[in-house]
Amino acid sequence: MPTKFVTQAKNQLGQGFQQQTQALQSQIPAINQLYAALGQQLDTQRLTGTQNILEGASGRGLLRSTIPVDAQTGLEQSIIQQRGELAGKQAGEISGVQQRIGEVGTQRASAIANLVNALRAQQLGRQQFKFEKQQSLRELELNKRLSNRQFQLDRRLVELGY
Amino acid sequence: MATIYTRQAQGEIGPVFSSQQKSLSQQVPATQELYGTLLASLQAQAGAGTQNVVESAQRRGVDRARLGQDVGASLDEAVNLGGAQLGAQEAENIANIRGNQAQLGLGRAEAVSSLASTRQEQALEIQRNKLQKRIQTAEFRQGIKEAEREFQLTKRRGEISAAKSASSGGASEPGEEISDQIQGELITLRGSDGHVSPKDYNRTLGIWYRNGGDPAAFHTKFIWAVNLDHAEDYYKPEIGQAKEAVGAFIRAGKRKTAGIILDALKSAGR
Repeated sequence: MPTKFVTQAKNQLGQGFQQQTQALQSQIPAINQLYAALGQQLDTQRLTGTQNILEGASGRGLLRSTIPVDAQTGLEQSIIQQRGELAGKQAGEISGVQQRIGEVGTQRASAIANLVNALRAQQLGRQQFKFEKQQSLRELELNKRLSNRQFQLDRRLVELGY
Repeated sequence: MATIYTRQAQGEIGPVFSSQQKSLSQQVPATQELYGTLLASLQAQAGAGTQNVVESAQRRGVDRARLGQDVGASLDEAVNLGGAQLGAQEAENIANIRGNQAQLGLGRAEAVSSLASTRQEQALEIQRNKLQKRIQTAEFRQGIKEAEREFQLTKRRGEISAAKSASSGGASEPGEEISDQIQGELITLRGSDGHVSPKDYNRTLGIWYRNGGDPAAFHTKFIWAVNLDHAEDYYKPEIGQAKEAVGAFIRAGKRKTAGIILDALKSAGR
């Protein structure tokens, strides 16, 4: 169960870090959506590219069996390479966002710890003064009582002739 | 629950940070509205673009049955990609705004904490000073009280000592140490004529008395310090000192000395 200082520190800090974390987390589906769209574009390019190769060959009167396979294969490989690069970039961006989320969490925890320390120090200061005041006043009262008793003793001694 | 100092600090600093937070908060819906507008514009352009391409192709005599669908699908894909890019950008912008808000919140919390600590230290310092003053005042009053009591005790000692002397016929002295110190001081204060001044004589008489000594004993013991030709300056008749001295010498059997003092007083018209 968190101490009252932790609760107080969290209240003082507010919702800023939580909101930042949520906003960062919202980036991830947006990134995924973007790379999905980019991937779809690549697919379309592959389909269009294949069709163009076929139509081009047919238009030149080439038979299907002699359709240049190399061109098709080259196109496929290019698309695969680009897909790989996209996946790498996507992973990199998401990793960056997750790293940022981690940093925000660390910063929040550190901020809370610092605030808690400050609150504890303030409380100690107040307690210390309270203690000092009690001690001083007790000492004053004690000295007063001792002085009174000493006077009573001295008076008796004087009456006895000392 | 926050202390009075934290609440005080929040009251002092809060308004500045609040206005900044408000300004940042307003950026979020503004950003969302902006990207919404951009997306709508993009979609509208796609619709208009499809129509333009088809009309242009028809004017050139190109009349593919699927042309509209192909162009539409291609533009839809472009809109989709554009929308995704806008979405990613919007998310990033909002994340940055939230980041700025978080940093502002952190700055505020730290500033409040620091100011609260300062305010508390100031308040405790004031309270410490008040406490110190209170203690000093109490100690001062106690000191006066003790001095008054000491005076009462000394006076009572003197009264008891005088009563004893009167009943026993003898004069009492303070402690041996005090007596020796006073004797030493009077010797030091002697002038070329072997006597001390009336002022020094009466001052040391006061010390003798405050330490419980009987004035009569002082007069008889230190008669050598007195210039009897000017006895009236040493023994003040107006405070009964002359009578006291004369009485002391008579009791000590020194009638001649008593007579000299009386003559000196008569000559001085006292």
